[in-house]
Amino acid sequence: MNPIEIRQLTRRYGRLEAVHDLSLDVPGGSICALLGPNGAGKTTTLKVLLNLLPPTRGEARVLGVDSRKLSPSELRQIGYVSESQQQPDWMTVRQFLDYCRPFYPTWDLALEKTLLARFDLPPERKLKHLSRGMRVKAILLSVLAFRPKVLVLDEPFSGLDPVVREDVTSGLLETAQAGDWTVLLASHDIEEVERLADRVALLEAGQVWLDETVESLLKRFRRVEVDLQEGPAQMDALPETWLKFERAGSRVTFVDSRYSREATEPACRARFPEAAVTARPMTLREIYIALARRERKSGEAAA
Amino acid sequence: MKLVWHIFKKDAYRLRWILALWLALPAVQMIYVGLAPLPSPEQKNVVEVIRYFFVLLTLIQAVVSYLLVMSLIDDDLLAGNQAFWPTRPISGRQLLEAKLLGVVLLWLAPVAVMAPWWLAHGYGWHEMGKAAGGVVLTQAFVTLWALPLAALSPKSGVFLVLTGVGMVTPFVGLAAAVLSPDVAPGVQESRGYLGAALWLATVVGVTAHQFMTRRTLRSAGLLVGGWVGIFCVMCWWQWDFASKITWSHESPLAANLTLQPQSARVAALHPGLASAGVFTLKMQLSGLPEPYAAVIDSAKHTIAWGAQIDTLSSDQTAWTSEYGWVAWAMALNGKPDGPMGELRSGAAIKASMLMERLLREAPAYSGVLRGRIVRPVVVADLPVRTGASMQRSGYGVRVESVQPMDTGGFSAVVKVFSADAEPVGIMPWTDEYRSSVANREYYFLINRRLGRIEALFASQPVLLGSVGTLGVYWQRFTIGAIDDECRLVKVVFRPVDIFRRTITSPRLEIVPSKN
Repeated sequence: MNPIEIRQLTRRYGRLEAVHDLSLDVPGGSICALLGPNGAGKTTTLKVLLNLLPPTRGEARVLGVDSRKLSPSELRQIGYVSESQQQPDWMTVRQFLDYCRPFYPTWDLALEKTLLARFDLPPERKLKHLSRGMRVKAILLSVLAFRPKVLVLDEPFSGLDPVVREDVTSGLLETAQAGDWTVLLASHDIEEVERLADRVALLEAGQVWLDETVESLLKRFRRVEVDLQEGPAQMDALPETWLKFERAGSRVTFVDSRYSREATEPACRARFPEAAVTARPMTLREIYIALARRERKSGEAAA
Repeated sequence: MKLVWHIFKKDAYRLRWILALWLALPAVQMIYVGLAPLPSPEQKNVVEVIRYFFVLLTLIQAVVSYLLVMSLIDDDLLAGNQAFWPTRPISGRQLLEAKLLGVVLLWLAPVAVMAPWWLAHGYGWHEMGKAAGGVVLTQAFVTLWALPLAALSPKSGVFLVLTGVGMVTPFVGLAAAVLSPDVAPGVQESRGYLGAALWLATVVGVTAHQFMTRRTLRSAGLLVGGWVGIFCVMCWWQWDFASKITWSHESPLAANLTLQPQSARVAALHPGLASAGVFTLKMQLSGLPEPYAAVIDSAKHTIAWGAQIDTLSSDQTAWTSEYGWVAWAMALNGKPDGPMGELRSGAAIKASMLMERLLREAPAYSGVLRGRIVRPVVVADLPVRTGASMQRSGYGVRVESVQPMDTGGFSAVVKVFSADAEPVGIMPWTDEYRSSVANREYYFLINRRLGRIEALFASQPVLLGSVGTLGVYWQRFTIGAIDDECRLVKVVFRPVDIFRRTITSPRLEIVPSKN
């Protein structure tokens, strides 16, 4: 049993289908990032997981329990951070932590103190008077301090400056090292996702169309550059795994989504016999953009 | 329970300032009434200003307590999908319990504020319980009205809109019921009971459902269903179960009471055309031993000439006019020039036509009367002298000043406080202490030397702040010199039992009135 299991989930808002037949498993101990453009259904999926929204069809299970039946005993093991969630803004940071603490038998007071110092939070300042970054850190602290088994983060880095972003990421990584937890994270911030996540799921129009480990993605994607040097070039019938194929003067570039030295280089030689071929690794951001553009084009073509 | 208390403490802390301000309003009233000197009869305008100011404070208290319920829910919203608490280990039941504790705080906090005042003025447990019960009931009505609406509102604007809609629907039903002409008194009473029961069930059902499920649309459906149900009941319910309720708790005192209509005087309120008339019904009362008396609190009457449509009805409250008489106003329904057979709601009728018919054909009478059996008790007996005072449990009188007047009478200012009255009104602390305290007829001046007893008529009874203090002024009095033989006596009529009687008379004799 995976800590998070989503089966054929559909969620409608009136006539608008925000999530369509979405299935996703997040294995225990992994940090999975949901990536996708605005309106892809990331936040809706997370809200269904936390029972903030009921599913229209299908089901979402957290820690083996249907999200609609989550009870306090499960919620004691689930942390949720969302920048759009209502918080008791009238409380000071200290009051907020004092209020949250009794609900969690596993609350780690030492960790609370460590994170309070690390995040540099002013204990006597009200949440409503905190900057956006400080506020996110305060909420994150209230969640990390009870060492949840499942952590759900909805756009935790949105609108944060680089320093705060670093604080939040480091805090998450440090806490992750101390315990075996499962994280599901929705974010547009791919650099931070790359540092944190070991798995990504790409969403488009309410559906998952790619679910893979980051390691595997980084391994199989390469940016390939071909220097033609006025030699012959066969540009027809290119492999489907070559994405973003572009030619500028004597230089051709593309993204190979199934790169292997044994297969890619001979394929290049066959089309560009006298060309110099170099392949370099890609960042997750570059991979995401290449995939997102291809998905969008195929969507437009299908339409 | 520990977590429920934890959430409750959070809410109480968050609302502490507004709660303190809210409770300061009655405190200010009590302090003012306790410390400030009573205005003299010449300062009538001052009294009026103070009275209206206190009424305003009372209204503010009611509105604030209504809005406090919204504030209580506001921090842990049940509607929408952005609330904080559902993602924390808090169940709907725990949250409901915590919020109900908050609501109960709104019921009891005013009692706690007023209790020192009551104790300082010698209220006994019985009187304190009575006064506290009135405050709690009023607060319960206001807060329970707000609770389901707050539970369904994702923001305060929605709450205010729902408040508007929520106020309109049941009141439209109520108005429809009151204005419906041809409903037997028992049916109308049954509608009232059933409507109130439906309202309570709707409040409980919607609130519990929303807290336990957070399915706002379904909860709103329940609420609308409840409102429609109340509306339907108030307009169309026909079964009279109220008359069938047995009053098993009646003591032998009430059980022996009999009322029998004898005759009625009738006068049209407006000569020519009449939309209403005044009947003075002679009612024989028997079965009550001395010194008990019966007071009619409410009555519903029907006068019919036959089993068909010629029926006049009224649910006007009856009041005692003279010994054995009950006077009541009756709405008449009909067209100005139409025959009596076309009596209809909302139109005037020629007075002469009605009078003629009443005098020509003695109608049948049926009525449902409710009232109390009361026992007169002398609660104050003191000389008419400045500074004279007395105090006993729940009641105190002090003569502030006595001044002779040119007319031969005297002017007196008497400060009175009392718990011996029923709470009335729907606003918190409005007219909490009325009836016998303010009733001019129950003050007597007794001159033992002359052997005469005369009722005093207070010219300007003022209920200051409705916390049990009253200014009473007599400006004319002519039964002789004010000396030590004169005693000021205050009598209250303590309720000892209630009664309800359905009485019928197949033929009611109508006597023409001089008026």
